[in-house]
Amino acid sequence: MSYISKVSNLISFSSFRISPVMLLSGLVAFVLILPVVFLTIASFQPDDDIFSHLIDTVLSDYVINTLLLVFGVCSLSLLIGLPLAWVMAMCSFPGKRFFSWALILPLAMPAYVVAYVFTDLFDYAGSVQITLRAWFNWQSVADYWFFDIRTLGGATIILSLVLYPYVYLLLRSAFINQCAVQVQASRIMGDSAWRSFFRISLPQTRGVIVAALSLVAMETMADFATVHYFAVNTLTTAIYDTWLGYYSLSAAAKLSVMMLAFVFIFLALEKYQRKRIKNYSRSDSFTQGEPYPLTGLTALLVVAGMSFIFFMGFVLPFGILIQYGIDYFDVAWNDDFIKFAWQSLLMASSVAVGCLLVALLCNIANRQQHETPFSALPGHAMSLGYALPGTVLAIAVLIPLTQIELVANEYLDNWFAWQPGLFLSGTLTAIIFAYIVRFSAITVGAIREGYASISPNLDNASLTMGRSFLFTVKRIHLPLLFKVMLTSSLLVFIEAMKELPAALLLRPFGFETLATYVYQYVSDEQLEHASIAAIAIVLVGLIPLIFVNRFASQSQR
Amino acid sequence: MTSIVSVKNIHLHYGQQKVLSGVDFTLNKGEILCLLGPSGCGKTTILKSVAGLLPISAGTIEINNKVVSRDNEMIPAEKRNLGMLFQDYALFPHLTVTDNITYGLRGLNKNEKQQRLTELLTLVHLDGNQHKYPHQLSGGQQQRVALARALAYKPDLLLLDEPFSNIDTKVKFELIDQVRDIIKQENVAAIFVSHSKEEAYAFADKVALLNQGKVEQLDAPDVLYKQPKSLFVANFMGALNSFKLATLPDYLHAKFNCEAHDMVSFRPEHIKLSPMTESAVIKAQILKKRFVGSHYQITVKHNDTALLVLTDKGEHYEPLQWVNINLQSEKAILFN
Repeated sequence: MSYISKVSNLISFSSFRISPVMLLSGLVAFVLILPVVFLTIASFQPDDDIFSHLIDTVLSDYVINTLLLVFGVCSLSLLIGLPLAWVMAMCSFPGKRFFSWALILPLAMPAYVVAYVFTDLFDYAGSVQITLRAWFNWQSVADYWFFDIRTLGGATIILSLVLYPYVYLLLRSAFINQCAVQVQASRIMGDSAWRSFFRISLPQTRGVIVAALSLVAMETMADFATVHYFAVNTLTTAIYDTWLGYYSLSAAAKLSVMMLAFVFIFLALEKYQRKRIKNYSRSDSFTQGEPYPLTGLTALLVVAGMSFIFFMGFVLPFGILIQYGIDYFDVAWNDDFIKFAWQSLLMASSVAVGCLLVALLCNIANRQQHETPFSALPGHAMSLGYALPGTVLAIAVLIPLTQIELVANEYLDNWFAWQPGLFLSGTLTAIIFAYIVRFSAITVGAIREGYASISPNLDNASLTMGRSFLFTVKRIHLPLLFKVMLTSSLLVFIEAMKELPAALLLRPFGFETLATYVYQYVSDEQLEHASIAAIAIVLVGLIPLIFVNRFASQSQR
Repeated sequence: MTSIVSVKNIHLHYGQQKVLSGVDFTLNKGEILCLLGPSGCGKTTILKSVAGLLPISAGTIEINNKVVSRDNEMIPAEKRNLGMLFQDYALFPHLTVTDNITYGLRGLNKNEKQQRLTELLTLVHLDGNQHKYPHQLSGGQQQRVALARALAYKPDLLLLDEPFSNIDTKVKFELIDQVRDIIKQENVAAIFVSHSKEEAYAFADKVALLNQGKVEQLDAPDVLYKQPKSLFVANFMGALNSFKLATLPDYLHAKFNCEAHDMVSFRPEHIKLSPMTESAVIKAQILKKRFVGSHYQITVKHNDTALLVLTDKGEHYEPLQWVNINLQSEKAILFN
């Protein structure tokens, strides 16, 4: 006799149909893409000629500045990142282990903090120029030339210093994963190390270079704080000013859509190149060659160069921050800092939980429907938000939320003579929703990868043993996905703590995240007073780099 | 005998592509059926349809005389009371041997559960391993945990999806014997998917040989080998030498009823070699000799046809030598 009931005719037949989980997943995906839809619609609406006024006056400057900035940052990042990556992957030299992770650290520095510190150092009233004037006995600006940091050029240098690690990281692993035999073959056939680099390594990594630069370009376009602080007008600052200056959502939407067009060009480039990279990468016949040993003057030059970049990108700005923190400890460690740190902690935790739930929902639904292209759709839709620069995201989120508020207030006023006011855009709802739109890509992708490593046969085994799909999710999937759930939601948490431009536009009255709190002091030229908060942001930003470096060194085997 | 599974004229297609076209078989309690065939013949598809993991386009599948699958409708896997053994074992990596085995047990109190667990651990010779995790076990042990897990709740039918394909040949047949013994001890009907005829010979009571979504022949393993109904079956089940009857001496024609057939085939062990004599009827020249341990495989050429012969007297023959071949006409395999 069997322990579970025999198959009976009473059990209803089930055909393949869309499950409630799938429906819910589709619904959530729909809600998460609403902002982009509304943004596009709003961009076609009249805006009291603000946009045409912008076109007539400053728009061309904004666009040119943006393009120049993107071009400059990409070039400089490549100039720094490419040689570092190649030397790190192909050579051995003293201090290699140290530099392999040290060179990633600038990624943790918020660009606006670096901008502030560098201004403090290199401005006319900064310690560098004061020292120079003292040494050479110069009296005024007329006596000497010194570069002006608060310019497009200055912004280019600062953004490159914190963004080159993208190029460095991607290219380093590309060079490491390259088949060493090919390089060896070219060397045996008479190529020098340089010639083999140009003939073999470089052409094969062209795709990775384009992908890395697309990332840098997107980050550059999304940067708001540095350019705003330097008063360099770009599309991001234009969106910000149009909204806060004219309160014109539709003009801001027009600018946003313009900017999105640029972003999607870079995104498409990146995706396309990634596909091509797949064609090149071989998992088999993968051998690691012996590194070229560097000695003497070459080694000295390499170490000096790396030290310089590490110093400028991390040691100097972080050191000065620490200095501020020590000097101004009494001012900087205050109730506001503790309150805002706590507030952003709560906000970021809610975002992390939200992103995790959304990601679980769409991936579980996808699994239940056997991962068809159709059932994967909500997951892909949810990941779209990641491409939105913070300012664009903020505008995109404001449009539907204010519409809902408008309608709700009107109806509630009619029915109950009561207006709830800005119950969405004026509360934490807006910022949390915006961050879920933006960061769910991280958890959705991570959990998708996690599911890929769980054999579908585990599901089949559980089902044939008489357990339902949801029981299987609870007892098998969730325990196996636990690590991925934890790390991916931690990443979301960190991103939400650090994000600035969207928070600046969406934070409710009286609410600050650590980032907006720090930025406010940056724009008031008083970073010293928020130095501990800034240090906290850097430390939080260092956490994901531990994962990144561990992952990258795993690929080194 | 009570039939446990009855598969009636099932069809399955994805769009235009036909995967199954009219498969029939029945299986009685305690019987082991092997679905055998080359890759892409639809054997795993049949297994998944019986399991309730895939819907069928037409036909019916009955388990215990109840219809469980019909045109695009099915009772889901979790309501069929089946046990399934997967190619990759599909053990839950985060659960211990105990938790894996008792995963499907329901409606039992703690003592009954413990008792069943002890029974199963003894059955699969894994006493003392109940607190280990799958990664702490050898491949064979993992296989036996999977088997215990699939048998734990006394399923009506056990399904095995290429269960031995990941196992080292050295221990494979030992394991096949063990698994077969356990299944026979539990007296459960089993369907087993494989692409290896050796596994089918060792494991199954009857074999359904599949080709392009159809059952070519369903019989006991030795019948499939000795009396194949088609050239496909004959070739799949073992090496074969085929002759056009016209090329053979007249006196043999009578034995093979020439009116009905034009081809005759022999297994390599049913062709004998002898040294060349004046009176030799069928002459052949040796092309190649290979020593394979228990015997020799000798390739000879007869009328431009290469024939494979097995002999234990290979030391008497060398390449290029002419020999006489004798066909054991009573073992001849005939097709139309």
